[in-house]
Amino acid sequence: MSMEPPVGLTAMPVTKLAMITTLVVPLVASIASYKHIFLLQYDPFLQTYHQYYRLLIFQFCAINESDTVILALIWYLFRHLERLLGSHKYLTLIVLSWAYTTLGIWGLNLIWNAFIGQYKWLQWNNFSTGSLPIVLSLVHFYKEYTPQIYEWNIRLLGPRGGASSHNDNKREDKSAVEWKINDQFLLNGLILLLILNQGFAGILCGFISWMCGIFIDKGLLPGLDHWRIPFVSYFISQGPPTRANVAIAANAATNTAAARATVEAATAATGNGNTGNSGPTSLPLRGSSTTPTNTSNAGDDEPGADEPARPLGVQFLDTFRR
Amino acid sequence: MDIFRHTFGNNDDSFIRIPGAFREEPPADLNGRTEDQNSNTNEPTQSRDGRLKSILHFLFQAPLIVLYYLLNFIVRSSRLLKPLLRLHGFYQRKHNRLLDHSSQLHRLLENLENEAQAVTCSEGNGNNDDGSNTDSTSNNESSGVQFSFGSLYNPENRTFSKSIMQNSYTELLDACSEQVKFGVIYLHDPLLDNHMDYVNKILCSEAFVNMIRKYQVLLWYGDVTTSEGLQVSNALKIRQYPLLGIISLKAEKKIELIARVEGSISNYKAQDLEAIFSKNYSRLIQLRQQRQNIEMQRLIRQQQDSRYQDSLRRDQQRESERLEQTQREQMEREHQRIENQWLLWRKSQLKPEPSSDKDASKVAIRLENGQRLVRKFDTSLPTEEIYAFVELQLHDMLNSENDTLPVYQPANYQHQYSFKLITPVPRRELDLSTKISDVSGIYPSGNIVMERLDE
Repeated sequence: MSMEPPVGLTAMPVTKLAMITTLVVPLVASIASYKHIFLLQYDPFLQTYHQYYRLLIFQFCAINESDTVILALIWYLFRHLERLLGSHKYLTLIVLSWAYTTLGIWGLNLIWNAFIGQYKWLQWNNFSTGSLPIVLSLVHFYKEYTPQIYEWNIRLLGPRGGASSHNDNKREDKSAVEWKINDQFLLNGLILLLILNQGFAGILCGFISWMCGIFIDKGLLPGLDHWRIPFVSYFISQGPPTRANVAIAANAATNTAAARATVEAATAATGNGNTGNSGPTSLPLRGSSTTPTNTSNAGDDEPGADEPARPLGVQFLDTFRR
Repeated sequence: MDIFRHTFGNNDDSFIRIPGAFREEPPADLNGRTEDQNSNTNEPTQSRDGRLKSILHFLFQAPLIVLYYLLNFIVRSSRLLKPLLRLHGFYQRKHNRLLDHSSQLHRLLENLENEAQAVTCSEGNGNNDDGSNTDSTSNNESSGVQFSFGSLYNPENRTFSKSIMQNSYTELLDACSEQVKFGVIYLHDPLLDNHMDYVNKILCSEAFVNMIRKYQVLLWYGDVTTSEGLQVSNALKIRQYPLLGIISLKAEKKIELIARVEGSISNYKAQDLEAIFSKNYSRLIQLRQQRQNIEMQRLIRQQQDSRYQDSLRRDQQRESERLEQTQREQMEREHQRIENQWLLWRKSQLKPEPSSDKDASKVAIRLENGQRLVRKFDTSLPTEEIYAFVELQLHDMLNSENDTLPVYQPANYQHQYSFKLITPVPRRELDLSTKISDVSGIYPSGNIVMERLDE
């Protein structure tokens, strides 16, 4: 059983839009040498020049290429969120968190600089670049509504305690570092990288945005419950049609069921009913390894076909062999 | 490493000890000896080499040490991420609360029931208020009778029995492949805008309920915000929630998702599901029949086996009985033969009737069949003589003349008389070993009655 959401962006228009924006805007900006307009800093731009449009656009383009790549990857991982919320709600959530994080970061920045940042060295000057605030507020939603599927442990033993310290456990415990890693470690790592990559500004803006995400979820920052972006539902529902009519979409077979069925058939054939009585035990799904097998070509649909369908190559080979 | 080797010469001991590397025992004497050799051969180059070596040691050692401590620091400082783990636990607590499948299911059903009630109430209010809610009314009319979710799926008093609702996905798969039935999966997503659409318009509609009853469908409902639901949706590669899927056995061993309704409900028609069910039902029946046939064959074979075993056992029994019989007959014959031999021998040993009345007792013996024998016996003989006489008389051997050849007493044979002799007045059994003269009832003369011993 695959543990990942389905690959690709079919039926996920909002994720597609976000990824394209994340990748194309920096590219175009760097080709046109206009990357500097996405840089947001308090000191010259806001304080001196009053270029407030920078607040509106700074989340659309990451200055650093590594940030761009990391953001694109995170947006791709967030396709599960789009599947979970539905495209329209997801787009609304993105827009809301864009607005709230921008307002929140700017407001806090103003407050800080008005009271504490009088001195030059205490001033909060740098902001994060790219859609880090939006992503961080979406992280809350992802973590809140995505359960963990599996986890494993990694154990790092210090090299000094090689062969000699296997005997006494205390030294080993002291030098061993154990990491518990779950199935979301890729996302966690990317988020961590994204934040650390932007330094102190990343940590600060990330934390504020995360709080914004929590507030949006809890309803403290209003909008998600009752408001939707108008006029876009047509574009969003352009995805694939509901597959009620295309219903014969045979997709998944599970190995466990198949194996059990074969065991049953075998026992039925040999007339030995002793081994078959372990059938309906409910295995915990967490441990079972079922893998989907993509199936269903036309030949498979014939009822009562005992022989499995042979691929064309095998048929040719068989013909020449005989 | 080759570069190091070349720069430091070809000595084996030339590697730099990395702090924290595996401890080895570099032979110190080897070092000294090689140096000694070198110093013996050419001293000035050796001193230059030594200086070069120390410089290189210094040059390479410092960065490696720094690198080591840097890595070590990074690994150690990962412990500083413990607060982040707590953050992780902040999200994990909610998901870990319910791990049991059945309780998860009950929780989902309860939630759905409550929400369905709320939705229907608000719909009803809307209809009462303005009466212009034509959309929902037409929906209701088109889908026929609406059941309330609670009446169908409530764990206490539901219409669907417990066997229809499966606790977990694996249970559903097992049951489907075992009982050869359709399975219906519904993945609920509470975060969607119109998340109760499927519940109200499909799951509670009369057509759906009738279909489930008609085709004996098994059900499993899951929530995609639980681990199990997420796994199922990933495994089935679902791109849009909610999902209503039908799984069915295909061929003998495979379970497949034969139909799915996902995403918006606008394209759904009740006839579609009906058509899918009816189309695949024939194959399902075929599979069922195949399985029944296999089962039947198995039964027949089992019966044949048991019958064969039965007859085999009977034959063996008969055989053993026959064997026993022959053995017994043989033994009887043997016994007969030996008895015969003994009788012959006894006859040869039988003393002749004394001629004089002196030292003889005259005994009248009444046999069982009423025959009366009168004979004289020597009084010095034991009463066994009388017994033997009677026995010989019974076997009709007294008058036969075939006692010409000498007969020996058969070894290991103790003859048992099958009768006893009794003096009627006073009634007393004759002991075998007592002398005739000692028995008052028959000396000098008396009557004896023979009685057969019942075995």
